[in-house]
Amino acid sequence: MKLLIAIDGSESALRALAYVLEHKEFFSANPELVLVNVHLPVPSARAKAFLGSEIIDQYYKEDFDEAMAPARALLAGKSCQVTDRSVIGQPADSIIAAATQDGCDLIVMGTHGRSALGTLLMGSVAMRVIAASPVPVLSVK
Amino acid sequence: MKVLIAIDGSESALGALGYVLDHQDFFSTNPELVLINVHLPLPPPRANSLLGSETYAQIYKEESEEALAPARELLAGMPCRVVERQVVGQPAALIIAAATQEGCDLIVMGTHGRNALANLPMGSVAMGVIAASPVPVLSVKYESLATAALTQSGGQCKNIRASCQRIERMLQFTERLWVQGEQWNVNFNLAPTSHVQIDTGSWRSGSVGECGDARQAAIADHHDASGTPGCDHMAHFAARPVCQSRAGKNKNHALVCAKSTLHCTT
Repeated sequence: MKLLIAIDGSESALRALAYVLEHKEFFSANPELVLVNVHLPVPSARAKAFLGSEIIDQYYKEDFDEAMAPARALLAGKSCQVTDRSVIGQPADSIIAAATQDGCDLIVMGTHGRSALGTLLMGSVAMRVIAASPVPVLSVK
Repeated sequence: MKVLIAIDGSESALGALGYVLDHQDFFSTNPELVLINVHLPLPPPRANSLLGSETYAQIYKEESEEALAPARELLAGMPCRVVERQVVGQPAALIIAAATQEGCDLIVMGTHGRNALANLPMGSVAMGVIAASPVPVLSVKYESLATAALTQSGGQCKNIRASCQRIERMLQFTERLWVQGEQWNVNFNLAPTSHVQIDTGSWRSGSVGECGDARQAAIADHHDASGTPGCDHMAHFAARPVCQSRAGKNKNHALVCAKSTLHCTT
């Protein structure tokens, strides 16, 4: 069984990961985890031309490592098969695409990610993934 | 493990239940199911005094029973421990309350229940539960259910017998969604292995002509399955039925109207 966990460096995403790790007995086989971090693309093509793609790639990489660091810390010493993926694009679409491409059985995500307004019922990314994903979504508050 | 499933009589809710039944191998132990039906309170207290609370209770009971009936049918013969609850009040709040009171580990629900507007991303009850529940929520989108489950039943299965049972269950489930008088095209794409035979003789439908075509389509597919996209990696699959709705009909629903029996020959 393969689970995709969306990681954006937020508390909420970490709680989703922690939930899976704490409830592994729910799943029949030790689940394989795919951690996906989606970075929004740097706005204009002009910025890219100006800065050069190397600097931008470096920037993506740094942000990726930063977002993943707490998740990696949580996974340290755990006997899990984990792969991580960095995707540049629109979060909800990219998460769904990654889940279908990797043949994941389930998407796990927090309801309030990085850019969600605290007062809203749930973040826009979680809502879009739940609404559009052909793969069932487990949401953890 | 205890799973609460919200049942409102909608296809979406049944889809969520079907998903759990179809993916029991996800769970380490056979999960215990709590089915809950929440009936909205009938409007004004004045009507209550006019009709009498007994009539009220009767209405609640009858409608809840009606909503739960297809779920019971789906569960018939399954080795599952099932508890049922019928309550009256605000759905989202009561679903969460029931899950916490019963000590459920998971809430499973469809994204579009009875009152949801089809073009909203999800219904208000699903949204309310996901947003407020301390218990994690697994949301299953109905339109994806039939295809996802069928792919699963053919694709991930190590054991042909289990695969057959799952396909059969899936057919039994989707069958109920067929409305008398409607015509469907049913296609089965079979892998070029002969482990599984579909006994087409037991198909039933109100529209014989259509089903006759589907039967031929199934046989044709069986012969040229090697040319079907996606069949190259089906060598170890037992069968992969692909159900498609009638062209022009709601494309969101992948349904079958046929009853089919699968036999293992190995």
